[in-house]
Parts: sequence; C-alpha cells; structure tokens
Amino acid sequence: MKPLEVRNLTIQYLTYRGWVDVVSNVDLDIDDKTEILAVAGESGCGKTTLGLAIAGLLPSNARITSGYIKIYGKNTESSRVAVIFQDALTSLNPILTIGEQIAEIYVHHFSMTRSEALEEARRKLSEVGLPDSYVNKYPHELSGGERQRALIAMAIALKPELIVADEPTTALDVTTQAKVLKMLRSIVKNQSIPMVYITHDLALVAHVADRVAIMYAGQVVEYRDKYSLFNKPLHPYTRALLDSLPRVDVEVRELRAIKGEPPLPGVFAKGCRFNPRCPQVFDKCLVEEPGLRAVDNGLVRCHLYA
Amino acid sequence: MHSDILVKAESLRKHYEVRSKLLKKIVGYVKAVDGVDLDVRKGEALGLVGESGSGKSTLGLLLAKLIEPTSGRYFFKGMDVTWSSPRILRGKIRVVFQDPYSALNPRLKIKDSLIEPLTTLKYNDREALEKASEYLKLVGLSREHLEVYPHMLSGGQRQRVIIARALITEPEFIVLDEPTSMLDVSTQAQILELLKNIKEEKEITYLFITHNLAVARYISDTIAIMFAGQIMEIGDKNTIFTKPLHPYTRNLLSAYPSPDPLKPWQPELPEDTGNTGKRNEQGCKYANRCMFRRDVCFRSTPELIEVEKDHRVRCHLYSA
Repeated sequence: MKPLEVRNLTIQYLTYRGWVDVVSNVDLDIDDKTEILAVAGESGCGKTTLGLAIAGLLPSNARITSGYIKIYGKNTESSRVAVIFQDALTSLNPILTIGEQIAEIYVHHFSMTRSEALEEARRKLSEVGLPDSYVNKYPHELSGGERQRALIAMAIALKPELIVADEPTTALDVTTQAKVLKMLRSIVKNQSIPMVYITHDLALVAHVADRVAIMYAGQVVEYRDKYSLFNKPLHPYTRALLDSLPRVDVEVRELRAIKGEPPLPGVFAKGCRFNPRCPQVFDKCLVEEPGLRAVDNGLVRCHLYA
Repeated sequence: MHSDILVKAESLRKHYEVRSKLLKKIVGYVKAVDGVDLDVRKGEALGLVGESGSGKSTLGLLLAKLIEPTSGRYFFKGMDVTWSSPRILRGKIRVVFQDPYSALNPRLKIKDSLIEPLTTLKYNDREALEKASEYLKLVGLSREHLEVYPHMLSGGQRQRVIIARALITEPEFIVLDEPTSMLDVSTQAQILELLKNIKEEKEITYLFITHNLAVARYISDTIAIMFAGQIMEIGDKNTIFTKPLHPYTRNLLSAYPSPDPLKPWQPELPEDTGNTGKRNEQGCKYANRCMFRRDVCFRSTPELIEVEKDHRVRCHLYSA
C-alpha cells in the first residue's frame, strides 16, 4: 500500500466572498517509504493548506468538497502524521523543558513511566544531533536551529507513518538551514519515514526532494521526479519560476521575471489558471481548463502537451 | 580621497548599552557595528551580506543617517557628516525597508505617501503631484494608483510604491534593507529587475543589504561579507564568488544550494563545538566557528588587509 495517496482533492475556505477553492483537484502520491515529495509554489498557491489536510489539521472554516487522502490506505484520522512547522518558538511550550515535552509523548502514547520517557527523550535528541543534556533546557535557551532540531525530535518520537514539513528551515540562517535539512533527509532515508516537504525555495527542492509537485493557484501544474523537472521543466510556470531565480553558482545577467502576480484564492482565470501570465498562451488556454496529463514520466497540466 | 567615492565610513562603531534590570547599571555592550571601514563608489551597488545578527541592518541605519554612531567618521561626497543633522542632506540619502506592509501609512492615499517627502523641498502641490505620477510610472505602476490606499495593493505593488517614494527626492544614495525578502520569487525577480534598471538610468548608488547571496550576486557590483559587526571580506562580485578567501565566506557559499540537482550540495560547515553559536570576543570574531583557527586567532584581531587589487580580507591566514 502507498504511504500517501491524494486523489482529486478539493478544499475550500469560507471567506467574506463565500466558499472559495484553495486546493483544486489535486492528485499526489508517495510510492516509497523513503521518498521525499516536495510541494513547491508561491504564497497563496495552496501548498500549506494541502499539507494541513494531509496532517488532518484543517481549520474549522475549511471543507473538503471532493476527493480523498489515504495514508497506507487509511484516512487521516486513523494515521500517525507528524508535522514540522516553520516557527519552532510557537510550536514549543515555553514553560516546559525540551525533555518534558518529548517525554510527554511517550507517557501519553506508550504509557511509559516518567523516567523511562525521559531516557527515550535523550535518545531522540541525540538522533537529531543535540546533546542529551538538552532535556533540561527550556525553548528560549536554544538557538533557532536547535529549536527546529528539538521539534524534529518530537516529530519522530511517535514513529510517524508520514512527516509533513512546512517550510521547516525558512526562519533559519543558511548555514543552519543546510545542517537541519541534511539531518532531516537522513532521518527519512534511515528510518523510512516518508516526508511531504513544503517550500517556496526551488534550490532546496533540487537537493532535498526526490519528486516534486509544482503548485499554482490551487492546482498541481507539474509533478515529476526532480532530475527530469530541473533538467527540462515542461510547464511554462515551472520554467518561469526557474528563470526568475537569482543564483549563487552561476552569473545570471538577466532575470526573466514572469509578468503579473499570482491570483487570489478563488479568483482564477477562465480556462487555464496561468493564462494571464503565460508567455506561451494560445486560444485554447482561454476557454478550456487543461487536465493533468502523463508526459515524460510525470504529469503536466498544460495544453502545450495535449 | 578619490573623487568618485560617494560614501566613506571610517572605523564606524555602534555599541548598544546593556543595562541591568534593577539598577539600570551598564553591564555590557552589544557591539552591533564594530569598526567598519567602507568606501562606496558613485554609481556602484554594494551588496552587504550577512546572517541575522551580523550588524548589517545597523550599518545600513548608520549610513542612512537614521542613527548616530558611537564612534568613527562618516563622509558623504567628501564632507564629514558624522554629527551633522540629516536635514542638510535634503533627501540625498533614502532608505527602503523589508516589510512593504508596514512601511506605508494605511490611512494615506498612495499620492499622499508619495508627495510627503517633497514637503520639505521646494515643490508646490501641482509639481509634487506631477512628480508622484512620473515616479509611479517609473516603477511600473500607473496614474490610477495615485488615488488608492495601500491595502488595495499587493506586496509587490507596495514595494514599488515604496521604491518610488524613495526615488522621488532624487537621491544619490539609497540604502535597501532586504527589499525583496518578503516577496515571492516571481515578484522578487520583477523588483530586482526594476532596481537594476533604475540604477543604470538614474546613476544611483545602492547599499543593498541582504542575507541572500544569490540576490546579492545578481544586483551588486561589489560584495561585502559581514560577521559580528565587522566586514570579513570585501571585493568585486566576481572575485568573491569565484575566489572567496575568508573561511566564513567559503562556509556561506558552500551552504547555498544551486537549483540544479546534479550539482552537489556539500556544505563545508564547521563542526559543532558547543560555542560555535557564540562569537569570539578576543581576537578574530569568527574563531569559534572557523575550520582553520589557530592560536593566534584567539589572541589578536586580524586587520582587513588588501590581498589583491580591490579585494580585502580580515583573516590571519592571509596576513603575511
């Protein structure tokens, strides 16, 4: 059974404009226990909402209007999904030590005694590269990178079936970010906990992920393994995103910025949602919404590949 | 002094007092900027790169004359302006901050925000309004945007308005503090293009503060790498990216992934020693994290020395 199967998922939010689509007809899979699936896109594309839905954490003003999410064939309520958010300081309890917060999990879920649980907490901390003396520290005594590590220790404590990491290193400095992501990747690979990695940073995707889903306006527009995607992006949006990235490794003389701005949720263009900004737009794009089609061992939502 | 040097800092320092809670006695200092020597040539874009806490924003505030230094001297166009009122600069130095959502007064129409900096200069209302629409056009917005309020604009559009407001006094020097770090990549690309074009068209000098080396590589002519209040390495953009010398610069560069999965991402990172997060106070500030540290690094502070033309490094490895 697949670690993750998302089919035809549509999620709406209740706003002052009524119910609006935030995620539309999304199909995604994780086939392998050691796979990292990156969901990448700009703000407002629906990637965080998708992540919350996979974790079963949708807020009360959201509803799923079509499709389903299965984790090893089960629905989200009966699966163990761990979530790592961007801001570790708000995810941790400021008045409990790191050890107490991790131990709590073992006391509640595995009915361990407090001292057994603390022992287990020490082990988890060393797995994420923190000294075991950190069980006695409070969140404010830790640096940003250390807090994120503590959060990861908590996330893997329950032996989750799936991790959803939403921009886990966006608040960190680059050197810390590199360390935390390397560590996260090795946890996925060594402990066989598949991960949905949500980010806006395509350069990180290129190194952290195995497969990539690019989202635009609530839809997956391209879904391929990372080597083919970065080698030959197919969807005009993916190509435009890569062309608008400043780079460290090569001299970029001119950024080819995409004109316009991403649409607001629910206010999508007729036909293809990318058509107002697409450099290769043609008649069909204005009237007919493209479906996800299999192209070059992946899926692309674009009329160019009909 | 070269006549083409617009901005010159000489051992500029900004130390903030740390006071005890009860008696408010000074118990120490935060050395946000700790001895910066810097020349910015006219028409140049200097990229000031550093991680959080490096003092890059404080240096930006100093050079924008929004705060006064603890010591050191600041020359603008050859004139010592260290202690002079920012008024005498008359809009010649302007700032653009990171957050486009808090930099515009929500109760003012865009036109009012735009003409506000002109009120101290000699413009009548009609001229000011004309100028406002001229500068809106320059940043890719139109006349219609004069009458709208900030909440009706997107983040990218707001940042354009803020850039227009900075440009409207015809400054010679603009301090841009992370102007694109809150924007999405496609919007960031638009703003970076805009800033690059404006610089060429108006021959403005930029201090571009960023934590993002990729952005710095795109926009800058010269790159300064800052750590713990000091400039660790400064040089021509191509030199810094192809031949970085300071261990910190090399660590930073290696930590950046390329958007190409075939290029290995092998960050050379200092091993954790327990005090890697802390800066070393005596000697070289980077010594605690440095992979090449020696005894001398904990004893004496290296100077920023010229290793080749237009390339200076603060590291004992390169001091003869």
